[in-house]
Amino acid sequence: MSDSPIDSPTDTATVQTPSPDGAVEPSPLDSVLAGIKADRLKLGAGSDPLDLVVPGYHGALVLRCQWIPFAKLTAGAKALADISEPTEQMIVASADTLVTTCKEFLIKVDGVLKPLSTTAEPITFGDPRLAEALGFPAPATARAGAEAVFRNDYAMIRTGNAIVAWLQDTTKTLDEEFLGN
Amino acid sequence: MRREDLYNCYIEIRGSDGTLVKLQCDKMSGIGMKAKSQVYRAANGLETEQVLGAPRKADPVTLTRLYDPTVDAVAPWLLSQCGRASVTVTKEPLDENGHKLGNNLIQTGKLDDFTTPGTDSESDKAALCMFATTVTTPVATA
Repeated sequence: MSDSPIDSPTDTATVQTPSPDGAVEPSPLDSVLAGIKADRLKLGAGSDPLDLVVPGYHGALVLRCQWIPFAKLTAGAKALADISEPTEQMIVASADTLVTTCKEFLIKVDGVLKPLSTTAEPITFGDPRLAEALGFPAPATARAGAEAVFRNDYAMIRTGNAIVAWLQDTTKTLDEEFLGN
Repeated sequence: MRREDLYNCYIEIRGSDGTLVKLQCDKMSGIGMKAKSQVYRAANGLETEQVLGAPRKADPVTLTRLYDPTVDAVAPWLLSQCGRASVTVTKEPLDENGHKLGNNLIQTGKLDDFTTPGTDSESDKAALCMFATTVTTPVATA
């Protein structure tokens, strides 16, 4: 075995220091490693969802997003590449990000977030109940549903970018870190 | 109008031992309800019959998927759960971009049959397994 401290058994998490009264106290290293393990479980698919206020609804409408694998996010990349108009491509990509990551819509009632759905089935962009609740015709596609909800390409692109930033680092969970809401 | 390929279909099986298995399937029979209305002629034979309606009965639902390692891992358990496990079957419509669009159709019931693929040394077909269910509840939409 090498004499390097890195290889030393004292670098493992099992070392515990007895306290003056004889009880074994966890070392600082233990707690750090425990924290790292706990953080690891919260990465990727284990992440808590992100709640984003949908711009323009005075905080009443909230989009709950879930972490998804990169392959799922980019599943429509080939179809996007077929869109020759860059502006349209950017809008559609943002709409796809919103649609793919959307877990459900929530509404804020008396300061409390509640699911927009009244059943066990959550409401997402392609759900006709969302169109009914917000007062627009049932969309032909989920993308059209996203565009109908936002009615503002700038806001949709900004929200889509915020979600992508969160997908990269899901420890950022506060709405204000992304959208300043 | 939709195409038959633009759906996700799932079967969620909750065993009598508490185990929960959710599998995406490739083919699914249509979800349907049937009723055979009764007619009744009141007063005398000259009167027009009245239609009284009838109780609804859900059609059995059959789902099929590729017999891959995911299913293989739970196949013995699935065989042991026929006639016992509770099932939830979900039909999720998709738009042309592959995003969920419209109402899910959801039914619950029991797992009747689980059939593993047959064996044929000369066959080049996909090995499929089949789940047959009896659903009892009315169709719930999302």
